[in-house]
Amino acid sequence: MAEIILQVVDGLAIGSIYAGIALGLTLVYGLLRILHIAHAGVYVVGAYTAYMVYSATGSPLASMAAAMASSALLGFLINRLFYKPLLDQPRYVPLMVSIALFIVMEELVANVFGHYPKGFHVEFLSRDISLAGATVNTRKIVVFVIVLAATLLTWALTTKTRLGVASQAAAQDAETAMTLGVRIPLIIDFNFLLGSALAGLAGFLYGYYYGVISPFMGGVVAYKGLVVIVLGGFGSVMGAYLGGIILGLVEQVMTALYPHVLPREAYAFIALIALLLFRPYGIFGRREMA
Amino acid sequence: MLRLENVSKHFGGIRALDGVSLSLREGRITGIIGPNGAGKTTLLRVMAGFYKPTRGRVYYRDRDVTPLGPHERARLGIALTFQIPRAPPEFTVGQLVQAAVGKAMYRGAAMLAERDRGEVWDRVHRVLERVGLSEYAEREASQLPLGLQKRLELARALALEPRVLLLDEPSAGMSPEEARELAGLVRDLNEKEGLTIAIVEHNVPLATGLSHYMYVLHYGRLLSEGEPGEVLRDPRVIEAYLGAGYARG
Repeated sequence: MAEIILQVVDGLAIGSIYAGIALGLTLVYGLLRILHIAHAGVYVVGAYTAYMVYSATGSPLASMAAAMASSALLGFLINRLFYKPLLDQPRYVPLMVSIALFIVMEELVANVFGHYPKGFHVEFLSRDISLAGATVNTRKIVVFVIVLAATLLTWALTTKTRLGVASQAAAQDAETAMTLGVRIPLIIDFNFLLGSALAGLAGFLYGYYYGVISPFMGGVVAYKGLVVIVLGGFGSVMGAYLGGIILGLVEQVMTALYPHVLPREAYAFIALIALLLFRPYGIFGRREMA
Repeated sequence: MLRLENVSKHFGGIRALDGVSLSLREGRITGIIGPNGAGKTTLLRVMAGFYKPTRGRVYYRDRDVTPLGPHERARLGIALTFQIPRAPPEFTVGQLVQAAVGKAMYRGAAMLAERDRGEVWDRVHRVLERVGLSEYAEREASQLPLGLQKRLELARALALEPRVLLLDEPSAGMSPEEARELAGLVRDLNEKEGLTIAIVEHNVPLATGLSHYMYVLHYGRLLSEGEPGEVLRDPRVIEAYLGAGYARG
């Protein structure tokens, strides 16, 4: 029983990090229909900003805020400088640019900070507690709670406010939204700022959870982020969150139960295939958004 | 009220509009007709700001609005309905109209306010009642039959409290009965609420029956203009619609 609780808590924490990354991806995809691979680079830059600020200040909150701010700015600039001029082009054009940007960002970070992982030990709410017989470190619970709070805030912003109405209308039919008086570029900017800030948050939380960051930590999440938004349904905030959690749990629990049968990533994709067979547009997805 | 001066719109080598000048008179219904490919929809989209003219200017109440985008023109009171209804799939009828109520709501910090309730919903219901959609408020907009979706287009436009209403083929796909009802509604909006209306129609009898003044487009150029009866007697219009044999009579 204790072992199961341990795996579930780990799965929830890892899934929360996936969800944090996927939230931003789904916000961008919902509006622009661009697979924003460079988002994984934004996440890496967020993690390294967090590392620098934590090294300089020792403050976890300042480190987290700096990661979110730097990532938000970077995502905003990527949209303005690279995606916006290409919106009239076929979608594979910005996709190619996005992949190139991701590689450039990875290599730049590697050149500046070195190619090897760096220890990033954040001392914040970290102690062992007993949970139904299992010893669990509180940082796993902190990761889960922070991402859950960020998701609920994002969900409220995108469904309960006028901005959310505008954003939903823009995601579903930009021309109709414009006839309602909605300024589409403003909505796109907002989604990039919010989504990229969440990637920065996920970068910080990755370091906080694993105690280490690497210039190439975005490689795996670049495609896992895609798995998550496909699982959850393109463009859906709650879908991205649940998709992340499901992926984290499936990976963790299946790897613990059958460690030598398949590698961790294979379980993630088996879960994806199984779900898509029954729900081709994901948990909360709709045909129009795919 | 809304004036186009020497407007051309080119798509690559295609001249969809070529040096068109016309004006929508305040409080009047202006009909715009023409054979397929005449440039009627392009003209409305230039008026609404969806297309920037390749040449020429667009004026609204003597203000040059050529550089303004569709959302800015919508806020000024220029509302467009689409030829093919465009109901976003996740909106109910009421929510779609609600999203259009209040032209200033998508600006600055007001955007972070809670979705509107109370008095806004009263206005939503008034608009739905105006177009005969009250009983469909909770239905998913994209699931309505075509005739009702056309009415919803009108409701969405009216929710903006427009001064100018641009109707793109409002009767397309409607039964004759539905088209007659729609014509009655459009006439009411003009007579009782003083709306300035431009109507692009394939249904020539409907357009001539409604319009105070008409323009005829042909291959992107203005072919004729005048009172409906006058325009229909113009040999150039008869030739464009029916061929040279009819024009010679």
